[in-house]
Amino acid sequence: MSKMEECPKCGSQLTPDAPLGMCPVCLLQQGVDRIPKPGGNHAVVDGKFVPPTIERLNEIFHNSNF
Amino acid sequence: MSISEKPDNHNGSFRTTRWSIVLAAGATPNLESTDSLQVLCESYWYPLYAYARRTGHSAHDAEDRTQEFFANLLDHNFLDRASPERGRFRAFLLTAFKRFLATSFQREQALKRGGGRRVISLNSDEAEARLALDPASTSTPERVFEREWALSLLNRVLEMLRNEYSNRDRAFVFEKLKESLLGSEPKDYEALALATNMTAGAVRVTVHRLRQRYGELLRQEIEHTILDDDDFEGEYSSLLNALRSDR
Repeated sequence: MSKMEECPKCGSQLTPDAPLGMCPVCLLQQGVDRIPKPGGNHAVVDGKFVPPTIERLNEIFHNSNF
Repeated sequence: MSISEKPDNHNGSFRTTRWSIVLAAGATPNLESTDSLQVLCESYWYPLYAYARRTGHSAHDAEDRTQEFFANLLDHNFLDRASPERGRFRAFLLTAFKRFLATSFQREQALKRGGGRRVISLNSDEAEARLALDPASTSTPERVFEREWALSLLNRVLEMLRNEYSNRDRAFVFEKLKESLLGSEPKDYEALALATNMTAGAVRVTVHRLRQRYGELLRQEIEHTILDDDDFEGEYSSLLNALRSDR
């Protein structure tokens, strides 16, 4: 995959020291968005099952039209 | 309650971070605290080196000063001082390093004690090449330090993630899918499936798992440099600001 010059996510110009050629701001933001919330497992909070969101289901099962 | 006995918000057990282990040991180090400090120093020497260079030290001098400082730190000097910045390893390191550079007496003592010891695998050629890539040459040394810290953290997390795939002979999968870590949905799952010798469905699941694992490693790495979970949001904001500051 070719090295990016512009971040495909936020459009900012990438500097030569970008980690693996990727936008560090987006990497940090997206990584933290993915971090499991306290309780560890997304599906169980306070002992109760919490169903995944429609967005998350669509993300995992792309084009399945949930 | 001591630092290491703080209840874990995640699962009710007790949780420690590398930095909390180091601070809990204080001036009486043990094997675990020494190992933790060594890992932290090996991971984050470059931001200090960059700071020294941006404050006018030559490459040779910056390397010497950084090594001297770490030799002192690994002897657990500086760690018994109570100060507000101790909650975050990043803030502690910069404050202690500034004092170290500014105090000639301390530096001379360190030279005598350290005797030019090389305690960190610090590659100055690599550091200089990296410094040349830094676009923020007009920034203050403090801002350079903060930015390089954030980049070091991200590089370390990506390296750990890539190693996990390499160890399973799936480095090529990581290379093909790594851009999905930015959060954009891959445009062509079929092409990625072809490139990775997987089905499109398997690629979707792999992308999901790659992102999840990246998030876990990122949280772990940030947590290792703070005392406890309570300060996570503050440290995250600092990292984000450091990366945005040169835009």
